Amino acid sequence: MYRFVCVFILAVGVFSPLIGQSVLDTLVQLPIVTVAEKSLRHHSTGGKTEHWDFAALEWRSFETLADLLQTETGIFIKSYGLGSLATTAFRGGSAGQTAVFWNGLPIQSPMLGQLDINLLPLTFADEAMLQYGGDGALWGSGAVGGIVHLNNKPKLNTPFTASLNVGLGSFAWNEQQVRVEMGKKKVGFSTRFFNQAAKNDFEYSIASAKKTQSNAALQQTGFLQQINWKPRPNQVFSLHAWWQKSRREIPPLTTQTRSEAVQKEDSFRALLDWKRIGVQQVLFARAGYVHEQIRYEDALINLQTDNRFQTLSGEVESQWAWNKRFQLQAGIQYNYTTAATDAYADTIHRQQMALFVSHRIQAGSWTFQVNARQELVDGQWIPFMPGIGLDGQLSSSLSIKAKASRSYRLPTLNDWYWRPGGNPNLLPERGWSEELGIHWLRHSSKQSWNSSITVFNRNIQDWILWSLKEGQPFWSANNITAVWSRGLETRIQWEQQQKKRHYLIKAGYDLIYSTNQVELDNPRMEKGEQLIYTPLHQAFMLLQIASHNWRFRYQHTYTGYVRTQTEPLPGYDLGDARLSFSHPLNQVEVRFFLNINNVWNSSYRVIERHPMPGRYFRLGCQLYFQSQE
Amino acid sequence: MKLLFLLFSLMPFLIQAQTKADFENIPLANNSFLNDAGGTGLFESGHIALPNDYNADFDFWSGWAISSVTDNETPGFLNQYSAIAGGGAEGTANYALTYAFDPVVIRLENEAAGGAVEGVYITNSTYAYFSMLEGDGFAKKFGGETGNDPDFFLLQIQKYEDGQLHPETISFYLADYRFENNGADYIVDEWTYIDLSPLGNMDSLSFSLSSSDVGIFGMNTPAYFCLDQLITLDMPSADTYQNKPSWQYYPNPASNFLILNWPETNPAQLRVMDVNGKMMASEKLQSGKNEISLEPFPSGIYWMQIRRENGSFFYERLLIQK
Repeated sequence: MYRFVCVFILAVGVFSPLIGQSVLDTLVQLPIVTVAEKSLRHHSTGGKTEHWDFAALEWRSFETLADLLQTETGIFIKSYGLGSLATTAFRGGSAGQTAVFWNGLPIQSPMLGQLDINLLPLTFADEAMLQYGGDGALWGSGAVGGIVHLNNKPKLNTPFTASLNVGLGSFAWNEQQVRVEMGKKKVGFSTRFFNQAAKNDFEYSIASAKKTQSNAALQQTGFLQQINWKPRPNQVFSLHAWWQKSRREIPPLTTQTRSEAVQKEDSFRALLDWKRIGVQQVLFARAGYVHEQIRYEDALINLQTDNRFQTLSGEVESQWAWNKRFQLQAGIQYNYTTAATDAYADTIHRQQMALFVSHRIQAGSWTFQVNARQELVDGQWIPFMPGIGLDGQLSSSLSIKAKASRSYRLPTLNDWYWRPGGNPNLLPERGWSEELGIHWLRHSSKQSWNSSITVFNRNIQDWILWSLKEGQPFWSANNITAVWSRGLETRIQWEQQQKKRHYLIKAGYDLIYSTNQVELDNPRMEKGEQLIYTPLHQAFMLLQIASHNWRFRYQHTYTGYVRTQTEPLPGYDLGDARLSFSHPLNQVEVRFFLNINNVWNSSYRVIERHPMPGRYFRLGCQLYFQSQE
Repeated sequence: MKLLFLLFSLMPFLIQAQTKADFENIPLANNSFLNDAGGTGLFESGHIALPNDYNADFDFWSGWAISSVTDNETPGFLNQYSAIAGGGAEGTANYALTYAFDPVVIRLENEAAGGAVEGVYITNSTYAYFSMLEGDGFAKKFGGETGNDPDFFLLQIQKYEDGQLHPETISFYLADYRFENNGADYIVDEWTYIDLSPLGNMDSLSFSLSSSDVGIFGMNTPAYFCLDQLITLDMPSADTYQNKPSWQYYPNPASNFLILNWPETNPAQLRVMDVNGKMMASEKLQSGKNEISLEPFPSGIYWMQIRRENGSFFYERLLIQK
């Protein structure tokens, strides 16, 4: 508790002179000092961010977060097959080192420490945001490689909108989506539904022989309800509920004759938040609930497992604008998790409590931010997490961003409690990361150029691996290694608007070294060796052309070779193309699209022994209605 | 005729007595298994001892288990106690099986201690058999994607003698896909007799598995095999077991020290060997009370070899619990 109080004192103590000052400033500057509605945490001063608004996501309404990150970022997506499990390797980190939030609610599985981002349909989000790099002070456990946010926007003052999307494609893929939303001055709602099914029985080649993927069908249904209520002009309540059910067959590996395995996932996430916006203060409170159940069944080997967890979370945070130059945000968070599986001795209970503060100082065109967090997990202190960031405008078009922060990842519940091998003495993975970016932005009324170069460095100690210890007959979780990640990320973007034509070209190249720093026997890893499934080189290019009622998009990605558990996998190129056409029909806009995925029919694998499809097609129709009110 | 009479007269002295370890002495219901050897940490049959370690908290075992499971059709680790032959060798019910990710041993005891092993029946476990035949989520089917990979699953048998692992090795391919003609590829699915007499006298047998399917986490092929009908040859009584003196060593189980009251006038050499047969210490025993420190020894089962100056020797078992 002492350390907890220290953080608070740090927050209050450092800025206490400002409190007295702020009273005066408040009186003097009331008309012009307003606190940013967006929290300081989302600003990520000094760090690289990417943002996709609703218009951008609507282009991808039949896609998942995995598709978006795969094609428009340098994040390596470990995809186990079409529609199968997909996890992130962000800046050379592990799958558990990416924090994912839905409207601010952490949604990773505390049992696995990761999230299958193929189960996050973009049609359920109004905006997506990426924060590159570690930021343990602001976002807590898992915010090591980066942070992903999926958000829903309030639907107040929104015209009645209804859309029906229907898609059909190769491998018996079909999907239906319904979305209805409307908002008045005080109340708004959004209701979304999707249903997806596919056989995914694609052909692939081994040597010259053709094989057909089997036991790969999937069936997913999801429902999202959002209600916003604005009882007073400065207060909004938002209720979000997201229910999703998935049944996915687990196909055999290329080195496996058959499979009868099935994974069934049911999740329910609910969130109630309240925001009060004052002239100088935004007060925010949130209560969240996440329930997830994963059942894995394999009739071939008589296996049935049932894993489930529930998380209750609460958060209160406040952001103050002392004056034009100083803003402070502080918050307290509480999480209570229960988890059960046959492999645990009993139902597990975990309590987490955290206090964080963030202070931003604006001086001309320079912004400086300092952040801190202290977390308590089941009565044990997690190391103090500080972080600083700096944004500076060097000229009208040139700016720099610099950030240094400490970050950590709690051991997963499986790491702690799985029998045998769970290790209750595990420490969190933790370390420092630093980054420096130079951004160049130039725009005119018709076109804009945007480019950046970012270098980063990260050292993580007490990296957790399941390993075979001397004299212990079973594999167990241990803090046995350290990983040094460093790299270079380059981005360039050009955009032009000409009457009814819009052009966008976006490209990026990432060079990432992420090396094991301790020589190990089991698993066998050399010192200085690149981590498995961490490509050294990755590049992407996106071209979008919109002209009158037509839209065309081509995206190309290159993924360099990766080390695996056995033989290295070669690098590969992938190209996806999409053509869409929209046509107004009375009050309804009719949109058609055609997607050609893997245009160049590449034969590739992301994960060894997991085949991927060659060229395949998807086409769809969208009926979009918006009232004239 | 005289020569024949002489040969028959000498036969009892020329032919050493054989003892078969068939595990039928271990009470086991039909179609069941025993993965917990209890406090001794050893399954015993004939003149052999098979180390076993069972963790009741995790229901986790290592070393050896005894089984009468007959289901040789269900793949996967939930059927890990099954032999692909569907029962014991030579029509018996019980057999031994082991998880040998690291090498495992079988210790020769009593009259067979320090003697030779004539042979043993070996076969695949059902789990490993189907994993190699069809692949699973962790291990590849043998032959790989194309059927042409030169895969193998190899059992190598060596001996420990006087605390040393000897280099002589008997190799047995539990599966062999290295043939140019894929039609010749095979996975062992019957009990197969292996002649171990070339290894000669020993304290224990060491079994190690290796496979062509290896990744950073070691061997992917399930590290199981099954064993039955192991035939030991008794040592000549003058040399070993029969002339074991009546003597005391205590405490047993021991913790940090051991007292040995050596009753004979002439000194003897004491060798302490761990469960694998590796020599951990060597001390001279003087007549009367001797004390040795066990401080550096981790918990486990150990064997003590006491060798007299005239070359005869015998073994005692020691349990160390820290």
